[in-house]
Amino acid sequence: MTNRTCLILLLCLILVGAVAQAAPPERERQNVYGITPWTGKEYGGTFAPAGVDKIYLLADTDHVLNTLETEVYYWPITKEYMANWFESREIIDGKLKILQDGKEIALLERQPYAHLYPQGFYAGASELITGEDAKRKYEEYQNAVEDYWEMADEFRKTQAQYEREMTDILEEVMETGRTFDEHELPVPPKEPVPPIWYVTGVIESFIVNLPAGEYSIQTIDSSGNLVPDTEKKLKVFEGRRTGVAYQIIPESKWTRPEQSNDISQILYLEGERTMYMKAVHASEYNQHDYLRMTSLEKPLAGKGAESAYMWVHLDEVPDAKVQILEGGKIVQEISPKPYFVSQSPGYTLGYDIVDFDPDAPELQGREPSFEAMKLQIGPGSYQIRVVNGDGEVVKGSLREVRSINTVSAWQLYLLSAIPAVIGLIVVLRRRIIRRKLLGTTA
Amino acid sequence: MSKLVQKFNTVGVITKREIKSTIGSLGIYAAASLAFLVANLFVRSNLRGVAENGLMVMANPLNYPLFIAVIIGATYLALTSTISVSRERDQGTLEVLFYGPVDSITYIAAKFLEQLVAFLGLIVVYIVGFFAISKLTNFGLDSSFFAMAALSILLAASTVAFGLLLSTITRSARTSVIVLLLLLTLFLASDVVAGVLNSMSAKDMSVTMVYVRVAVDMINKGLKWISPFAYLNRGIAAIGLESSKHLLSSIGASLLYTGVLLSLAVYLLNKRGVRR
Repeated sequence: MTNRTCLILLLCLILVGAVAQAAPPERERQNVYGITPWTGKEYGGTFAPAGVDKIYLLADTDHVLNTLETEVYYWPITKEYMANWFESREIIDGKLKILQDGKEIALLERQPYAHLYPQGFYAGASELITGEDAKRKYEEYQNAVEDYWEMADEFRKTQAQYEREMTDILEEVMETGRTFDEHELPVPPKEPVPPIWYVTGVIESFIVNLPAGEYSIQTIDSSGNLVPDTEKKLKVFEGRRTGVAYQIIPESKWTRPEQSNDISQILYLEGERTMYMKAVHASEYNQHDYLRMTSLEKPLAGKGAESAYMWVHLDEVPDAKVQILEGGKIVQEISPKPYFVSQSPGYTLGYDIVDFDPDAPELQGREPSFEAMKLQIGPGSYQIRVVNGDGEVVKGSLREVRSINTVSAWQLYLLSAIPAVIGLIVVLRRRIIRRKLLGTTA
Repeated sequence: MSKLVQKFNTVGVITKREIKSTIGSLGIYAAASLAFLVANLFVRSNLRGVAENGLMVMANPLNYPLFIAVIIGATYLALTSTISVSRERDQGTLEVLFYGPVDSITYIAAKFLEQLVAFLGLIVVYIVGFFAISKLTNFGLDSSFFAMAALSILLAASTVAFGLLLSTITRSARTSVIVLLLLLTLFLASDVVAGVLNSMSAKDMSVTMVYVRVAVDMINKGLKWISPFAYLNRGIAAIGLESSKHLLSSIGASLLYTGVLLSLAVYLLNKRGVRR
């Protein structure tokens, strides 16, 4: 075989390899559960393909489950199962049977539901609306949108009329040189604001809300038969602990906030420090169960974390104020304010965190970088806690704040040597006594 | 005098003699110094962390150094008990003792009590030392610290019992020491590695790390009932959760574990005899 033949063969092999690499993953039609779990702070999205035998959900809250037929494939790059929802998504008719200890405890029918986003689709968490309320809310939203378009149409017409009138006035000014008083000028029309809130279209699914426990679920068709691959175990779990967590933004590195999740987590400072704080409700969940709930499509999610727990930050404590206590007495009460991070101009790295003043010329058209409570704490030992709008201390919000003392290494190591020194003294003393005793007997 | 009272007296006499010997030798003091030295390395690292970052959130920064100090102290005592049993057998002392009013129960009980009393002394020294460190650094000592100090007595008890059991299983002092150190290192390493892996963000974990975590979790599930550190961790977790039910069950399980180890040690000593 010549060198040229070898080279051609090698190129062919590389090409075959490249084609194999680029081949799309094999798709398989499966009966799956589409799941929209409430994660404690928002509605997530995952699905249970045929290979997953257990679903995880939070206790005592509404979750959306839907039995669907779709194409499933494994995507090795992100190591997860994917569903081809856009090309293949068929609803499997039937009812959802829920069993506990082998006994049927509920037989759910699909019911209409919609997601309401009070602060817009891209901001804040959504709310789940079910039944007739969902239909009503969706209609309300459609009406609001239609009203907006009507107002926008009206605005376009009045704007055109206004511009025409202004053009006539300008022409008259240019021709005659006559000046107009302000009251003689037409009033510009006001642009309508589109509805910020958003409601998704109403669809039907199973709404599952169960107390903590072990269950099993299955989809039953109209003839009462089990739909293949729809029998799954269901673990409904609850938080181990709840409390208030602090998100602490140090002034010196605002992009790397610290977190204090429970009462044992003390804030240690060196010298006088400025920090910005947000207080949020938090729940501690089993890491394995929580990650399986949110990412069931990823076979590795939560694996090996059965005995680990994680804090999940939920919504901010509303109308929160932070109180600083020294020796049990309140020395300061701080309310949240908006702040703006102003980058240093030029090539110099650095920034300043300034109060956000929307009327300041340099901040016109800008949004605040964050809203938080600013704490300036000097050396000493303090406590902080959160009070709500009614002035009541929020349970689980107490934290200690301590500034450390500067200690040189030799002080600590000297302390370590003390037991050994005492030991030496004891041993030497014993030897001296023994020698004396031996001397006496001799 | 009843047999039971006689046994108590024997245990008391041996325990007193052993305690005197422990207090009079340099070993326990050197172990305490070493414990403080290693603990202070962690304290210093925490101090440096706060100084460099300006602000740090830490849960009980003196608890982990205390845990390290407890491990060093308990391991030292387990080692000395293991060595002393093996040496006494090698030198024939054990045989001589058993000609007198000493039997396997009194012997194991005395050895165990002596080390436990020594550890109680050690824990008092630790509390005083850490109190001084707290005053020096302003790192807080809260109730969880004292709870951990109290629970560490159970850790020491089970570690010493573990050492005694090993000394009755193995033939020589050297083997006992090696096996004890290997097992304690395995228990501690699995505990520390599991802690580190659980504190890592699950989102950023590579596939290899996920499998490592699964393996470590499985090992820990297996070691859950034989590692003295697992009992301590369960107790500390129960304190953190303020669950008296879990705390009591963890204390009960730890006491039961120690009792089983001591019973096994007595059984094996009886079975193998006291001759060289």
